[in-house]
Amino acid sequence: MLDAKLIKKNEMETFCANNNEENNCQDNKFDIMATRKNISISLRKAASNLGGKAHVISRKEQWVILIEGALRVSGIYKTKIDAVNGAMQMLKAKKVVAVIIHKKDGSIEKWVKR
Amino acid sequence: MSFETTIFINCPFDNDYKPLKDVMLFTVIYCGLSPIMCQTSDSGQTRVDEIKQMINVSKFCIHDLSRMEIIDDRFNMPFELGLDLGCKHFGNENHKTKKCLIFEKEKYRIKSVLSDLAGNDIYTHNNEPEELVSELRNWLKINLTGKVIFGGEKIWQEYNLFKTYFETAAKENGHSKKYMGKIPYTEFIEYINDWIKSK
Repeated sequence: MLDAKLIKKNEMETFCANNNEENNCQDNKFDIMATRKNISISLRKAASNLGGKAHVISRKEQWVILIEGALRVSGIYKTKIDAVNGAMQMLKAKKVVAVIIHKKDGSIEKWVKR
Repeated sequence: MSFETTIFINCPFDNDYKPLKDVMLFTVIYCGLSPIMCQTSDSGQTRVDEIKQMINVSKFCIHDLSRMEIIDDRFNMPFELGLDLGCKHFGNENHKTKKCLIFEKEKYRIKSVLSDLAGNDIYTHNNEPEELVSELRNWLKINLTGKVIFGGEKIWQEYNLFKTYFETAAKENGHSKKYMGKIPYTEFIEYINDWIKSK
């Protein structure tokens, strides 16, 4: 059921156009959007219930620790290793639930969970 | 999709360029625009026809010439840039308001071989996604008069947080990590929109 709802929106439009089922198409489109939104909301809720995650991010030739939901970064380091060590200390001290280490291009290199 | 908020992104689709493409899509959506790109799906329609159509419906355009090497044969991008500049020059009243951003990897490299581009905005990203965010954001701020645009640093941080959400949500939706990078750009845009809406 879930799989069917996750069919891409444009594929569904083509399918419905071919089958002349405009009303069903509208309903299905709303279903798809609702499902995507629900997944998104549930993931965010789950994240906030668990507590903050610390992200190690590259920024202007430096590395920073950013905790989800915080307005400012928690630490600025000259090297990535120092920033990772700083974040791991936070994890050990149970200040965060996970450390997510990013690559210089923003993608994820590693997740470390408590 | 309205002409005023549509941005056509003309950039390479190879794996090396993907980090730049992803962050470019994120930045323009985060700044309130709707991106379109040419990823030809209908084999009956040629790529250049699709690009002409996209140029016609977009007020904003980004042409990234950073992958064009003088010694090889990848000259589609500057040709398409020419179509866009032609559209602005010869088009209707809407087309005359078009704004065009040209990206390069190094300053003055293209102007040395395409001197007719003098007078156009050429921004450089040095193949660094973070630098691209900051340059693109500045260009958008100049051209989206009166609109609040966050600083490059903030957008870059948000992009890093989004990537975490994206990997989790894509996995939840049945994408394996190996093939996550091959998700069509239209679907990637849906993830960006979902994430922005849920904030």
